[in-house]
Amino acid sequence: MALEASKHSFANMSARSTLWVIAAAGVSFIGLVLLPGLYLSTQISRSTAALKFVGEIRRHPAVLQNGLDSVRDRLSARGYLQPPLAQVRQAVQGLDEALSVMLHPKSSGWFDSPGAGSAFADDPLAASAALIQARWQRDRKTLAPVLKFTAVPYQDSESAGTQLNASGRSFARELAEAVHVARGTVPFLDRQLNEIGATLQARNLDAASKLRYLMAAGLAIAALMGFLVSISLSARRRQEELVRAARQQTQDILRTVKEGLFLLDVNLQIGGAHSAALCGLFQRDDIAGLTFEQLLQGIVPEKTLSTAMKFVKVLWSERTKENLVKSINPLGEVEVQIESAGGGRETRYLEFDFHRVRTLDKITHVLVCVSDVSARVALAQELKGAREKSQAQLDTLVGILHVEPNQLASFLDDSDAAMKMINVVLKEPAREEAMFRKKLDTIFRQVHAVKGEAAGLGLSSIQSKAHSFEDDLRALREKPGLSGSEFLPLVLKLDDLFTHLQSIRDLVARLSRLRVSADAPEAPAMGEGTDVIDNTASVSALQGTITQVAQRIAVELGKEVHVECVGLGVLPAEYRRMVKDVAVQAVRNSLVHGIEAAQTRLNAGKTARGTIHIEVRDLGAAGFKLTLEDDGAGLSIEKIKQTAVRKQFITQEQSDGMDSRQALGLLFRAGFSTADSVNKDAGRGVGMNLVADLVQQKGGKLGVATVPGKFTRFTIALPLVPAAADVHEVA
Amino acid sequence: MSHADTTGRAHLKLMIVDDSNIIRRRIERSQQIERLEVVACAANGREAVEMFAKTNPDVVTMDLTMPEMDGVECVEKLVQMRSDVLILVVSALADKATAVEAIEKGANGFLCKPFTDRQLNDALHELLS
Repeated sequence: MALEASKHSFANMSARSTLWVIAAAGVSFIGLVLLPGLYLSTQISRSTAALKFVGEIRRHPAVLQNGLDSVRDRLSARGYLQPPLAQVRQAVQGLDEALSVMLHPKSSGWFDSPGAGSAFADDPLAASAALIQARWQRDRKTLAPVLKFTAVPYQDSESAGTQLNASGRSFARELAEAVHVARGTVPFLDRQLNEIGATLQARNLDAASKLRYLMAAGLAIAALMGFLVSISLSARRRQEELVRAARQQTQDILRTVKEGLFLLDVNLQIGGAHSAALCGLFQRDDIAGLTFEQLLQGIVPEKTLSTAMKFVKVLWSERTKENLVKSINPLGEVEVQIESAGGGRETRYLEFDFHRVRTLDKITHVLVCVSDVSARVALAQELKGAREKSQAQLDTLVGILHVEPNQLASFLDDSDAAMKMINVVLKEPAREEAMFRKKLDTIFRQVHAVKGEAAGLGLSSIQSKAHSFEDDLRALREKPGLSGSEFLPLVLKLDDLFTHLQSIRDLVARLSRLRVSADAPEAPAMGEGTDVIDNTASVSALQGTITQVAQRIAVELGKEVHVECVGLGVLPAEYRRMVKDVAVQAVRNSLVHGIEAAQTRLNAGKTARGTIHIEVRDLGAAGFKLTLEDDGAGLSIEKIKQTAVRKQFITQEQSDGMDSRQALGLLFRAGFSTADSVNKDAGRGVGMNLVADLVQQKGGKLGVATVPGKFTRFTIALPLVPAAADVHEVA
Repeated sequence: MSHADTTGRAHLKLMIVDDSNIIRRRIERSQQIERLEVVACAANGREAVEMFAKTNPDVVTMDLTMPEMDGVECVEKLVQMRSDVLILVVSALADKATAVEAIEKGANGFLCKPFTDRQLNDALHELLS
């Protein structure tokens, strides 16, 4: 790059100096060749004119001499004198005029046709002219009487014939004098004119040879100029080539670069040259000439825009240092809403980098580099999600470690069964609304049971997922018209819950393998089926679950409770799940509705701590009897009736005509709850309905007895062998 | 602008403006080894303006979110009082918009909270360079 630049500047410099040399050559061509050439050619043309002139006047002396001789001859022959005299006069006049031209030369301009006399303006020709003039002036006086002579020089007499008269005689004397003088003058004039001719000739030759040299020099200079011009032209071509190549490279860079590149001027206007990627990033083609504000308008929030505008203005201040530019850049990673190609808007994350461009230490532009960092941001979010997920898994793990293994195994099996059942129910074909409602109720009960148990075991992640599932189910339940498509989102929720349960199951399996290999190689892996759990373990798990649920809910409600379990061991395995579900619901109900707060109990003369008694009795061939009893406030028949009327299960008239037994029966209706608000433990009206359902499925009978202020007791009679499962429950 | 200490090195006067006692103490502590002499600590903008008039510091570290008078307003006032004061904005990243505003009003540098002693010294060095 630097090399390129130096080459460039060198080329610039040499191009400039070549131009100077060409200019100098041009000036010297004019000064050394053209002007002297013009002078010399003027000289030559003057000399040539003078030579011609001299050539012309050289005949005058001879004509004069001849004229005079002819006059003399005619005079002596008494002939007619006028023709030779005219010849003499003409010659004298010619010489007069020639001398006048020679002595008073008119200097002619450069471009006038040169006068013959101009050549005589300088020595030695002027001197020669003066010499001729002096002699001619002197000798011309002698010629004057001859020239003036016009009379008739003869007189005729008979005797002598034609004789000279007086004037003729005088003329003859003057003529003789003139002839005499002319004998000296004419050679003198000849000689002088010859000399002048020779001088002019020499001068002409000299000028011509000088002109030749000048022309040669001119040719040389012209050749030099031609050479320099060709060098300069080729240098210019090279330079243009470089400029074109540089422009091409710039265009290639701008076309190819992935980032959006553009320059901002001091008015925050985007320059004409920007990278092609810029259009793609902003989904518009009219970026050149926009202001920075116009570019961002509508794609970033107003506040970001105003901060960005303040920031780009700050960039022009010399006070703002480079590092500061980076650290306060509000567009370092900015979310933008861009019109997508298929209409609508799409969210992208862009990164703007700002670099100040200086020319001669002055900030002239700001180079802005924009890149799409959506993928990077998405990855960062994904990583964050993964981190959160692993944190949640860790929390779950810690939760699992706190749960008694047998209870956990039993919970996982039960939940698995519940999930499978929900799946079957969802798949089952149904057309009428009543059927949908029944399906919904069944699913609700199953999810509710899982949630309750998870809560009991402190498995909060499962509990919250189940709770959210329940929320959806409840929303669906409250909808007036149900259709099959509305069940579709439930599948997703079920899948979520199922996956979560599965991950816990995997975790537990891995943990148990760890434990097996670490301390007890013969210990059975848990969570892989109930068959590996022996009866004792199962019973204690059942009891543990019930107690745990009770304690947790009691703590949450600020109540105190003691759970007594008697004879759970006599239960056959087939009833265990059902009994657990029933017990969990009953315990929950007792704590929410039955057992009072400690102070209330004390005021009523009871122990501060409530008791829930759960007992199973083996009745031999008659089967089993399960009793669940609490020493709480008992059931309020009135309250049950009021709730039933409010929830439109029954009309006021029906309510009025109901006895206690019928009223208690309302408890087992789906959606019935007397709790005032919905929370995890009660209020959804599921609990007792689930109990009734479970009992019914096993072919059992459910009874309820209560004494207000004393107790509530549920008795469940179960056949020796459980009835065939309800069609919904077949997994 | 500065006065020479006994070692002949020019000392610059520093004022710390931050409503957090902890941050003030941290900056003060880290500056004991630097050629800056802490001449004032202010907990809000109003206090800062008063102390600035009294102590005439050369350098100021400025929090942005403060009670009574916020950092941006305070920067504006201090620059009006003395145009060649050097102000380092020390603020949370979420305050970037406010930081830009402070720079616009005449602050000279930005340091993001939380910061290490090294970052603080680097930021002050850059400010003084």
